[in-house]
Amino acid sequence: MEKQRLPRIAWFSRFNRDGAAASSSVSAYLTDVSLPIVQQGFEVDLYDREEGHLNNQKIRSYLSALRYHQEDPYSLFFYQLEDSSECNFIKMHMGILPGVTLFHDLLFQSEGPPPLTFSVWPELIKEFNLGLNKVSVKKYPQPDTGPFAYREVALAPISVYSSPRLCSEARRNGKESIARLPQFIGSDKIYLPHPVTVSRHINPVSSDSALPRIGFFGAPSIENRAAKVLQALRDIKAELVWMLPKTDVSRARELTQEYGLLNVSFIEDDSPTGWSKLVPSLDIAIHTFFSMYGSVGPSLPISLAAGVPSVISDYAENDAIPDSVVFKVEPGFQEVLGIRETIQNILELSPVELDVIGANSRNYALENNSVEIVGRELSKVFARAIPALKGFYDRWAEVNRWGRSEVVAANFADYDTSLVGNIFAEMGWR
Amino acid sequence: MANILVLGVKIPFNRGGADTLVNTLVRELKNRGHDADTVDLPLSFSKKENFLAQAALWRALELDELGGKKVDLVIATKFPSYYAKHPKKSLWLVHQHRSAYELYGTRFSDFSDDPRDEALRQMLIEGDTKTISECKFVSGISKNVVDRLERFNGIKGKTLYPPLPLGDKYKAGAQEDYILSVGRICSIKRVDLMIKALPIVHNFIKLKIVGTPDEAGVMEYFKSEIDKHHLWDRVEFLGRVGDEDLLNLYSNALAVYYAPFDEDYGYVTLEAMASSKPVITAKDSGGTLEFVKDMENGLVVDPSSDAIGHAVNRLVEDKALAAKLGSCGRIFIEQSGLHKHGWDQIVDGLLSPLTR
Repeated sequence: MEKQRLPRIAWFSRFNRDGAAASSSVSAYLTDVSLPIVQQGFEVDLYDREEGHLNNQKIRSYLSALRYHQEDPYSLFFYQLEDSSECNFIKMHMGILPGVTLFHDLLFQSEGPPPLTFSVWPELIKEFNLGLNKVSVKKYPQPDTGPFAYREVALAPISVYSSPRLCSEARRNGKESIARLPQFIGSDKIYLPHPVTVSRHINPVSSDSALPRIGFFGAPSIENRAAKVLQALRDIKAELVWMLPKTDVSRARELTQEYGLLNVSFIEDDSPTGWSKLVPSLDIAIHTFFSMYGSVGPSLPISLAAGVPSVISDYAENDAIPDSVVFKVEPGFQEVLGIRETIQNILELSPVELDVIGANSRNYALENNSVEIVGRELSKVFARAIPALKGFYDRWAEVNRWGRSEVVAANFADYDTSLVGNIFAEMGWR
Repeated sequence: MANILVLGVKIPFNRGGADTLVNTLVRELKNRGHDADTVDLPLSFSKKENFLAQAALWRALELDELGGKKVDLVIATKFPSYYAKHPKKSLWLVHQHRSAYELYGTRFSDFSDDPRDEALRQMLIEGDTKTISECKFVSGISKNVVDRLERFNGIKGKTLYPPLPLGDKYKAGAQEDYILSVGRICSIKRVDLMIKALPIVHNFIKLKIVGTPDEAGVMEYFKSEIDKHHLWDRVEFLGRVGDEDLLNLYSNALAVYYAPFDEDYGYVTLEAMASSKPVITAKDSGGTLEFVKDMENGLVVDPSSDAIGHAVNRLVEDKALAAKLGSCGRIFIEQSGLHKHGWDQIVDGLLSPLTR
């Protein structure tokens, strides 16, 4: 009996390519850890700006995706979006063939790529929702709507968010949608936690080393509370291991000197993969964060999964993490004191108490973030989306047919049909 | 001997590498005893939807017999000349309509996500694939161009590098205090990066720019940058120059700046090398990187004014390095034969449908 073919997904993302160092990209990290699970139920082709390989699988140029789609149609187009110009190609493609979009950011520093200034998405969505498969207006430069991803959220018939905060932001601000799929009414915006591999081993506190190791992940920014953390560490005998982007090292070095911290190691790597390698060697992980938007990212669940005591800001979506799992510090006037006391308290905990906290955090990560669970959840979204999107894709094909007829009409308005009409027919353009 | 038509696409009032390529190909075909001529049609960029009709006009041409002679072979070069119909059609691809391909999604493309734009893009790709597939011999002027054809249209081709237009006339001269930029003046050639780099370059170094603008507003933008940075006495626009002048400008430059975005091929790179000059280019300059290797025969840097300025200073401060890189470039040209021969392979390839 012939084996039934798996549904096909075109997976648009940034990637940690074979032979290259892991990047800070959350999309690339999610692909690394989730793709093997998704591939158990789906045939996945990878697309990026440039060709390459991921675990020996070919990464294709995104510009060839529609050609492959014509030859062997995909059941679904999947996009991962981050605030990076590296994702501009995804912004383009999700506008020409929408699908399931996983958002890691909702505010974009640039409105690029520049051609999207002329996107007609507001009118397209309005008319599509009225049952019309066309766009009445012609191009014009779109007014600047600020950094929020209105267009991208609206063009995602099904959207997924890697933090609950992003998800609620999208529900609150992203009212428009290209399609209201009956199967996804009330659930077209889905929260999917960051996936992590959960350690089976209890992380021993460094008993033999001279000083405890405290890890800090991220740029020396106000959002990461870097100055507060450094100030708090002044009176603590510990080694600070700081993983951060290469471009921020000199600034971070200046800051540590300013606060008189001498025992600091800088690791020029801000990839989640790099953090997951470092974290088992830490006694404490610091994930302070305070910002009007955004979230800590996958580094926190990675620390939790390793069973490392984690200090976090008592703020926004962190409310949902039980106090038995993490050590929360309230941002504000008492923040430095709070961080210092929290770290000192952790360092004074007995091995038994640390074991309990480690087990709690690992169990929490296991329940919420384990690669298997998140991978299966993502697969479920795909499995539900494929039949739900079928009707949408049929209508989208109608919009494309309308686009073609408009192009032909524009040519025939300027050129004699008797001269070029037969050739248009020969070329299959009409 | 065969009757051959080389199909060129003319952008009136402009002259670029593609025009040089068509003219030199006709010259070489004639040198080999063939009766060769060009067929040029203009291409208007005023309304991009009309690219289809303009392609259709090429398709409508009757090229089998002209001037009482049977046309044995046509050689298409760039979009949309390959839409022409002929039983024996060869392709030496300069480029397709790049906005629909590798420039799509960048600031150099005018295609948005409007369904009409997307439809046009798909129609161009379909038309290109159909008409290029008809070619009995498919080649491109660089590996970059050939790779794109395979990536976007699924058509394999052979790389045939065009030899230098002025053959073995290029010569090494002095190392005068100027950087040379040669080429059409438009945003994709990124001459502005070099202009904006000048404030951090030693102030006795000048920039000489050969070429004419072919994009609205580009000169105004350059001039505003020159005003802003007080560079009036350091930037010289020479316009179009004759061959002799061009040879001298190459010959006496300290280095040649050529850092377009994803260039197809770039004669300038090879002309600089043939003149024993180091080339300063960018990591995303496409075809130039098939020849320029960092610290071997030039400097390959980030596409930023800062990086370009530092690269220039490096050569200014170490003229021995500039000379060494330049002479390595010259050695490459001599070993590749692009200054003397190279045409035999091209002509053999393009004319191969005649022998089938």
